Amino acid sequence: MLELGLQHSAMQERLLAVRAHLDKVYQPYAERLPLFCQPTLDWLNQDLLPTLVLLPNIGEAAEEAHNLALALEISFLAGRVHDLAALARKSQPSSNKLTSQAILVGDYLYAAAAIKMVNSGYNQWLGQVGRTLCRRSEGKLARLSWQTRAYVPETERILNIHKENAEGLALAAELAVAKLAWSPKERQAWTEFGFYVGQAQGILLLEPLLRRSDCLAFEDALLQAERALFNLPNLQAVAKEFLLKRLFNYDGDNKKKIK
Amino acid sequence: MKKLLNRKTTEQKLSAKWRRIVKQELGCLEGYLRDSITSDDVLLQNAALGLIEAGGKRLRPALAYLAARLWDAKVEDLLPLLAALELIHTGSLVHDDIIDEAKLRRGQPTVNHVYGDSAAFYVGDYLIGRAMELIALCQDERLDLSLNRTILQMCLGELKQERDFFRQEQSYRDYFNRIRRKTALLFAGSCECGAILAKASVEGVDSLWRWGYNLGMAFQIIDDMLDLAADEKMLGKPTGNDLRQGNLSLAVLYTIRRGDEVADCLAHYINALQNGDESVLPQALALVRQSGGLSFAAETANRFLQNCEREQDNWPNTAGYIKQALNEVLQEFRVQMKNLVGDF
Repeated sequence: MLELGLQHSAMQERLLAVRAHLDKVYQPYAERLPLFCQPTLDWLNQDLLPTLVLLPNIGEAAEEAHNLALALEISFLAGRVHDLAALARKSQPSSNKLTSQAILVGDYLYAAAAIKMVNSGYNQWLGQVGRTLCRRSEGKLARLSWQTRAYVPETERILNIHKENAEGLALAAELAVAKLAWSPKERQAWTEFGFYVGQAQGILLLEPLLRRSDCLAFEDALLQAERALFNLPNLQAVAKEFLLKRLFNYDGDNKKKIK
Repeated sequence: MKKLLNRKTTEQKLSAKWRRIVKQELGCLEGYLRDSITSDDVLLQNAALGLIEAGGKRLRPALAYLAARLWDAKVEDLLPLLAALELIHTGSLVHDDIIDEAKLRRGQPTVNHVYGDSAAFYVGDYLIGRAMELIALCQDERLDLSLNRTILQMCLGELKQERDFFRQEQSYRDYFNRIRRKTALLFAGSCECGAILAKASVEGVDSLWRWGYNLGMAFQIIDDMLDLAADEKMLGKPTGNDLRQGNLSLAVLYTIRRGDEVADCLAHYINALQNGDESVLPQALALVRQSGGLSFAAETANRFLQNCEREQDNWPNTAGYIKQALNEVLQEFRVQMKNLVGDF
C-alpha cells in the first residue's frame, strides 16, 4: 500500500480523470436540460461515489476501477436528473415541456451506465443494480406519499434513507472491491462503510431536520462508518481524509465535528 | 358496421393460430409478470399491477418466445427475458405518458393521470430496474448489452424526436430513423434475445434480428396509420393524437409532398396546430385520409413485411408450425392495413 501522501495524489489524479470522462458523457445532454433539472455538483455530491470506488483500488490497475466509478456516477446522475425533474413537475406544472427532456436524459444515462458496466466486466452485477434502482424508486414514492400524512415517525424516515441512498452506496462499495484479493471480512467492512456514508449523506440531503440536537442518527452513521474502517487499517487514514473529513467535516480522532 | 365485423372475423381467423400458440404455451407469463412486480410500496404495487392487468398485446414477449421456439427452447428458460421485455416496454410507456401528458393508455387512465407525474417517474424507473433484475437471471452478457443498447437508442430517438415536431420539411429518412429507434429496435432486440437464449447460431440470431427490425418498422407505420384513421374506441386513446402533438407520420409527410392545393391546405392546418388551434384537427385528418397518404404508408409497410418473408428462408425447418405462426403475424398486419385502406 502506498503511503498517505502518495495515496492522496494518486486519488486526486484518478478523480479528475473520472470527472473529465463524466463531463464528456453528460455535457451533450446536460445542455438540453433546463437549469433546475441539472444536478449541481456541489461539495456533497462531488465525487462521493467515485471516491468510494477508487480508494480501495489505489495501487491496482486503474482502468477497471475508472470504468466502474464512471458507470456508477452516470447512474447516480441519472437518478438525480429524474429527482429534479419530478420535483419540478410537482412544484412548477408550467415547466412540463422543459422537464420532458429530463425524463429521457435520465433513462438514457441509466442505459449508458448499464452498458459501461457490462463492457467493464461487471455484467453479473446488473441484477443487483436493477434491484437497487427498484428500492430507490420505492423509497422515493414513499417520500412522496408522506405529503398526505400528518406525521411520519423518525425511524420510518431513517429506514427510508436506506432505500433511497445508503443501499446504493453500499452496492458501489461492494462492487469496488469485488475483484480485489480481499478477505470476506474486509469486503464486508468496506461495504458497511459505504452503507453508513450513504446513510449520513442521505440525512444531509433528504432529512436535514434529523440533525437536530436530540437526534443522533447522523452522528451514529458517521461513527459506524468509522468503526467499519477499523477492519481496514491500510485504508483507514485516507478514507477518513477523503470521505469523512472532506465531505462531512467529521474528525473521528477528535470525536467531534470540525464545524 | 357489418362490413367491419366481417373484417374482424377474417382477422381473428387469420391470427388465431399464432395467438393460440402464444396463449396456450405462454399462459404462465401473466402470473410470472404479476409476481415480478411485487413491492411493499402500496402505490407502486397498485400502479404496476394496474398496468400489467390493463392488458396490452404482449407482442414483444410473444415475438421473443416464437423466435426462441424456432430452436426448440423451453418456456421456463425464457420467462425472465419475456417478462423483462414487457416491463421495459411498459416502463417506457409510463415515461412517454408523462412527456405526452396522456390521460388514457390501453383504454385505462394513465399512471401520471391517476397518481401524478412525480410518482409516474419512479413507477417507470421501478419497472426498468425490475427488468434489469430479470435479465440478469438469464446470465448472458449479450442480452444485457442488446437490451441496454436498445433502451439507449430508444431514448436518443425520443430526444431527437422533438427536433422534428411540426417540421414539415423533414425527409422520409428522418421519419424512418425515428421509428427505427422508437419501435423497430426493441422488436429486433426481442427476437434477437429469444434466439440467443435458444442457443441459435450467429447467422440465426442475426436473421431474427433483421426479421424483428423489419416487422417493427411495419408495425410502427401501421400504428401511425391507425392514429390517423381509426376511431377512438378502437385505439383506446383519442384519434389524431400524434398529429396534434406535431409528430408527422409517413402518410402526413406524403400528403405534404404532393405539392398541390391539398398539400398547401394541410401545411396551413399543421401551422395552426403548432400555434395551439386544435379546432382544425378533424379537417387535417380528413385531408390526410383523402390524399392517398394512407395507401402510400401501407405500401411502404408492406415492403418491410416482404423483407421479413425473405428472412424466413434462413430459418431452420425443424419447427414448421412456429415458422408458420411467425408468418401469420405478417399476414395479420396486412389484414389490419387492408381494413384501413382497402387493397394496396
